[in-house]
Formats: sequence, C-alpha cells, structure tokens
Amino acid sequence: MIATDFHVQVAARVSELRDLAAMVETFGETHDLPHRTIFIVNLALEELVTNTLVHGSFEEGVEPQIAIDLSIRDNRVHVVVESNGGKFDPTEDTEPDLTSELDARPIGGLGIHLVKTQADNFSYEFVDGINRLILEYNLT
Amino acid sequence: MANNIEVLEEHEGDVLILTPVGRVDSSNAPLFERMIKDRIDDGEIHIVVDFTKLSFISSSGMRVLLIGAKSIRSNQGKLILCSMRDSIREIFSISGFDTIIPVVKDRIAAIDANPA
Repeated sequence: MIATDFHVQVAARVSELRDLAAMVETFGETHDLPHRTIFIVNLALEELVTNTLVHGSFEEGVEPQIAIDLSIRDNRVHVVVESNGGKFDPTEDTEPDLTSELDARPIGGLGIHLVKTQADNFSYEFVDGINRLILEYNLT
Repeated sequence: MANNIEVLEEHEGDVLILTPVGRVDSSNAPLFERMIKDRIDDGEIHIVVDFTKLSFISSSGMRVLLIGAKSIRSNQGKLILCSMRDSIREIFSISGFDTIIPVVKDRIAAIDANPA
C-alpha cells in the first residue's frame, strides 16, 4: 500500500469537529479502511479534542491547539494527537462506573474509556509542554 | 459556535419518536439535550430515539440520552433506543449503557416496548 499520510493542526474548538471528521473520512476512503475503523478514529479525535477543551488550562492569549497525524504503518492505523494546555495523562484516568443502575449511573467520564478500549495500543508522553497520545488500530 | 442538529419528530399514539440526523457530538449535544428536556417538560414520557439516520454519536451525545432516560424514569415513563448501526451499538455495549437504556432492533419493537 502506498503511504498517504495526513497531518493537520487546528484550533481545538468544537466547531472544527465536522471538518476533522470529513478529513478522517477522506483518509479512510484513500486507504479503503473498514467503516468501523473510520468510526472509532473519528470518535477518538472527537473525545480527545473535547477533552483538551475541558481539562486543558490555558494562559491568557494561548489558544487551545491540537495537531493530528494519521498514517498506515505495518498494517495498522497510527494516530498521533498532540495538544497544549498543560499535562493531562489520560492513562491515569480511573475506570468509569459501567454497571450501576440507571438512577445511580454517573453522567460523564466515558469518553476516554471508549478511546482506550477501542484502541489496540494506547500510549502517552508529555514532552516540551506538549501532550502526545499515540493510538494504534490493527487492520486485520 | 455550536453546530445545528436536525431531529425528525413523529408521534405513534402517545409515543414520541425522535430521529436525529447525521451526527450528535460535543458541538451540538447541548441543543439535543435542550430539545429532549423541552419535550419532557411538555409531558412526553414515552420516547423512542430512532438511530436510523444517525451516522455518529460521541460520549457527549450518549450523556444526553442518559440524562433524558433518568428524567423520563423519574416521570414514570420510558426511553427506548432503536435501529443502531453496528459501530454505534458497540460503544453502547462498551459503556454498559445498553444495560440501563433498552436498545431494540427497530422502530416496531421500540413502540411495542414502550406502551402508553
């Protein structure tokens, strides 16, 4: 397969999500990826952009930024997401409550759990003030 | 700026059927939340959300459904979800939502499961 990598840096705003989704669709079509893979990559980006906005702490004048790299390596979709806004390590997130009855079920806390569960590999590093998440999805 | 949301609305007897179109993500989930709250405030207690035309939902949208289900339950009503595509069904399963909000195959089953 000819590598057609994809890189985009956008302001982390919810209004950018539709454009990001369209770009992931294009990437998926270029590589003839399964529908499920396109969906879960889209979901991961949506959850991570939202997470940056909710958990990031930004000094005045600093805009939330997110940089995304998509590529195919060794029969895997390789996704790198870099964001500013101070250290946020989602690998330290505790497991959300997935079993309580409706009335007791807490609202929220699911996004990162979905991302971690669906990725075949999920790693995090904090380098030079940038959060870098690396996600991999097997194509088998 | 929030994106819009298109939601088709129909009644089958006393059951309100909502069919969101396209995507429910963090950009338009607040609008979807407001809409469901308004319908519950109007007295709707038997609500079906039909996923036929929904291609994408994130945890922001799922959160709206959880809030709606809790609110409807407190009014002695019921929220039923139907017609999910496999990729969406998978995240409802991972999150355990399908154990607290009923998910059924299609609209007919949803109406049967939500008697007025």
